[in-house]
Amino acid sequence: MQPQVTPAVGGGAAPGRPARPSADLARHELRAARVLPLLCAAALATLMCAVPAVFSLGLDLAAGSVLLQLAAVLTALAVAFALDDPAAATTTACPSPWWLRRSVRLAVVLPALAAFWLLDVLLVRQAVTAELRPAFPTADLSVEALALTLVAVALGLAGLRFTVGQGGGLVAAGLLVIVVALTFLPQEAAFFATPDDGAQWDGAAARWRATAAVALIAAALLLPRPPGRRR
Amino acid sequence: MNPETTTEAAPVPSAAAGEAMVQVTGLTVRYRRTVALDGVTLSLGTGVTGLLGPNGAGKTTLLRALATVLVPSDGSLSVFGRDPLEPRSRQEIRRRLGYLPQAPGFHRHFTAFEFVDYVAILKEHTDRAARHEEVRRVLDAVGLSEVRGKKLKALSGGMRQRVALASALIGDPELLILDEPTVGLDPEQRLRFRELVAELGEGRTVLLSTHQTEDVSALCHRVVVLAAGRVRYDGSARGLGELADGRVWFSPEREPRAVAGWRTGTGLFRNIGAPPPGAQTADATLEDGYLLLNSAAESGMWPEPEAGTRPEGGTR
Amino acid sequence: MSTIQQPERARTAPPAPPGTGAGVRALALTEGRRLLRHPAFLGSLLLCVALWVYESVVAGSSGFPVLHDEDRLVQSQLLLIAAGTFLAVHLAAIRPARDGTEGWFLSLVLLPWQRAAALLLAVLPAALLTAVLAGARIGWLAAQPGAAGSPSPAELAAGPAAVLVAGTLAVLLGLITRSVAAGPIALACLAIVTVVGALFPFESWRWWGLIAVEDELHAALPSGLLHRPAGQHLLYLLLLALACATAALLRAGLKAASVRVLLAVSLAGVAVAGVLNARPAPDSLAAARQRALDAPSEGQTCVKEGELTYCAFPEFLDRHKEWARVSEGILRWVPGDARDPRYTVRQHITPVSESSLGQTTAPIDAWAEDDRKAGTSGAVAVGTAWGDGSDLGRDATGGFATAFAARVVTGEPARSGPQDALLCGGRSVLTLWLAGQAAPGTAEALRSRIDRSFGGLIGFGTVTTVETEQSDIDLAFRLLNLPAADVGAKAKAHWAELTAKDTSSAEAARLLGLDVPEQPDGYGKDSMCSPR
Repeated sequence: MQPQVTPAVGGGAAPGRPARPSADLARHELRAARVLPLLCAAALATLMCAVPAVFSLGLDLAAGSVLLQLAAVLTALAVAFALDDPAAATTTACPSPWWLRRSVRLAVVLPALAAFWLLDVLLVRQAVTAELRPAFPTADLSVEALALTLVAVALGLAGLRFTVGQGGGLVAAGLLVIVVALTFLPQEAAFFATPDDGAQWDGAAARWRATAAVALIAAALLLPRPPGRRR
Repeated sequence: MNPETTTEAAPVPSAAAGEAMVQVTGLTVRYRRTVALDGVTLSLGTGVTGLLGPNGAGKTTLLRALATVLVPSDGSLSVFGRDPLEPRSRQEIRRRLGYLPQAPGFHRHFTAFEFVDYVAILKEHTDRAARHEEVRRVLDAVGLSEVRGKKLKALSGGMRQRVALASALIGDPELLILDEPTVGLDPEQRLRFRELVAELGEGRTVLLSTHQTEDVSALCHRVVVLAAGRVRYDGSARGLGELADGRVWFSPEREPRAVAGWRTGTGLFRNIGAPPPGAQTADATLEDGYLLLNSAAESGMWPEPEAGTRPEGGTR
Repeated sequence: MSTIQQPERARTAPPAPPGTGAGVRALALTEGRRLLRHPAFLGSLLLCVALWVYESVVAGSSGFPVLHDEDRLVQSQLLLIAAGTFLAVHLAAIRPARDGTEGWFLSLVLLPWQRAAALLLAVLPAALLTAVLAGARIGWLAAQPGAAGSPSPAELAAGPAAVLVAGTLAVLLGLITRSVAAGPIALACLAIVTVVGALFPFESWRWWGLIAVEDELHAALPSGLLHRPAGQHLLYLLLLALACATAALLRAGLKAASVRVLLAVSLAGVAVAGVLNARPAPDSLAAARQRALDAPSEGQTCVKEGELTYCAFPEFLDRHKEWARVSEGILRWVPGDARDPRYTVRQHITPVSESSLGQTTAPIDAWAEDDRKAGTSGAVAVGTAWGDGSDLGRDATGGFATAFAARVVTGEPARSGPQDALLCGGRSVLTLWLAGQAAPGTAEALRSRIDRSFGGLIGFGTVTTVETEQSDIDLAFRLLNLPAADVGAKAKAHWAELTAKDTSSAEAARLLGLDVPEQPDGYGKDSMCSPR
């Protein structure tokens, strides 16, 4: 029995019609994304935030904000891996636009991250002593977490361009180094400050907002680019 | 249909004079519920032996068992007279062995020289100067001396394959096991490869697994055909080709009676099987003999042995 | 194509005879070289060195280092190199799994455990390099002017030991899981452990981490009063590295009973060393600290220069030259008959406070008693910090200058209690001017303190406090703009008036040559200085 090379009936989308996001695409992109590092990191971060709440340690504002900053760094690290696409070389010739595939991935990954973040915030707020709770800078810390995540996404997209789909791990390491470098910055340019120190905290929060904006723009610019340079 | 198998008296260099390099007896390998090798028995001496078979026949499994990477479930194996199941003998075997696996991985950031040097260290060549000399020698042998300093990720697939081949040649091994070594090579490179292997075959045992029947017919005196984990044929290459003598013909239309047939680029169909009288016959190649053998085995019609000749291997 | 000549066996040198470990050593050399060239390692190295260069050259904060504190500050910076080593070694450990060469390499002579052993050995050059860097940094600091104390070798060795732990842990991790993500995540977890340890600088459980961070805002203590079980911690780290290494070898397939025994022993050793390490400070140390705080004269040596005696803890004795510069800069404008026959400067430590907001007051009465017993009544207190590179150093310098000037001007040593620490009127202006012009850098030290303070009253000093009003400070700084010789001559001439209690700031300023408009009694309604 000879195999049928040409299809009996024309199947699939008619050529020329742009793809629309569908549940099928979302399912496949989710399957393709490396979510295990992300889940591990988010779980570890939540565990870390749960420890003071479970042991009723009664943290002050500084300790609580440091805890949430650490959780943010940990989860941002793992976001870089979710954009990894080892099959990029094979699928590069498909007409479906890259921004669509990546947006679908991010649209699934980011809300999950947000849910974990919410849980972390609740846990840490619970652990902070009751009289300090109203002063807890949740909004500023959330902006910081968002900025770190956006930086991870932007770096991941940039890494994909250079490594044709496999760049996540190296980018994560790079992010780690950047964060470490940020902790060593002198007082005037510090990114990590304590909320007790009002002026410094506001300065740092402003810097995080600026970083988030820059990272958002960079990510938006890099989103449609195909992995690997076109020669 | 009675395809014949002949074991010629003419030189089939197997098991010469009791000094078999490799002796396999009743080798069985099981992966959970799949039987990859089922009672394979053969022996190899010096010279180049080709290993043919469809995908999933167990070629790679056999080669891995011979390369001491795989532990068989049953049966016995003897390489250079030693048993690879015993750790010290295994190390001794590995020193005299060169193995090129199917689709070898590469450390992409290493240069060609660095990678082959790395493999040489893993083969315990510890004297730096001598080792570098050896690396240069093998890279020269495969024709890659100019690109020694280039990173592997910058080399083409064929060049990377040659780097892998060079790594297998480190230390001048007495037994070379090559699993699909010509994948990714263009015809000119394949030509050089054949010359290389032919020279290596003098005085060494080379076992070459490939899909390219032209390589087998050009290089190998002896062919072993595996199918479904069993040896279907073990004899001379010429004998395999002669199985299809007079059984290949052209026809204008697809022949349902043919054992195997395909449409050629000219529009005619080339068929193997029992030709109808008056058909336009063609010269049989080794590939035809192989296809005939395989399809006959698949269709359950094991070739009836003529008196005095027996197919080696397999138990029916 | 060049045909291969049939190589004679002799031409290709045979591989090394089995069992000698030469193969492992050769592989370790190659892997070590690759590790030292790896971008992650080199990047972290550069970052660490850049940090030091920035601190020393740009921020200029390495003047007057206290070496038994610097040797542990070096540890946290060397952790950067440990992180780079971790990432580089992890990538090397998962290289066969990631690139798909594992199946191939199984057919080669070196066994998987030997390859793991080579990778473990390859971490040693990185640790050695870290040790060299640590030595260079401490050596450079020791060569700085005013370096006090001596570094502890065990503390210095903790940095390279951390690199060893990081490397061996990375090999173990690479053998457990082949995921690339595991490396950065594990590193982040280690970083979290370190940061959490740093948040609680007084808990003894922080010694279970790689480094134990101290409260760095506190001024240095003499090395005898520190509780830093550095030797035990080094042992802990080395045993941890050994445990990781043996676990990695076992995981890679080495089936030797001796290695299993070694793993068990090292794990037990880690537990024991960790527990020993994490013991709280012994009571004798607390008692010694209390004694050093209340009655430091027992542990101090004194040196006499001219009419000044300087008493300090032996490690800090060389600092007296700095103190002398300030004291003499103040004394040159004091007329002979107003001087005491002897002035003493005595070093004091500040009490260690475990709460971040607590301010404990210095036991001035106990100090006075101790001075009396030692025959150095009226000593001016100076702390263990000094310098112009950090806020603490500047506060210490400015504080001593102010304290000495206050001693000279008021004729009394510092007293405890807020009212007694307050200087008012002409005395305050004179004190501040004397302090500001005493030595190059004191004026900036004062200015730096003023910039960081709020409110109408500003206090100077880290050990004892002298408080002055903002208005007096303004006057003093205006005086500092005038040539010091002129003002000094006027100060000498009008010394008695200037140091009288009822002289107002405006009068004093006019006496010293400043044009101050006539004001109805320069005290504002919120002034603490009520007219006496």
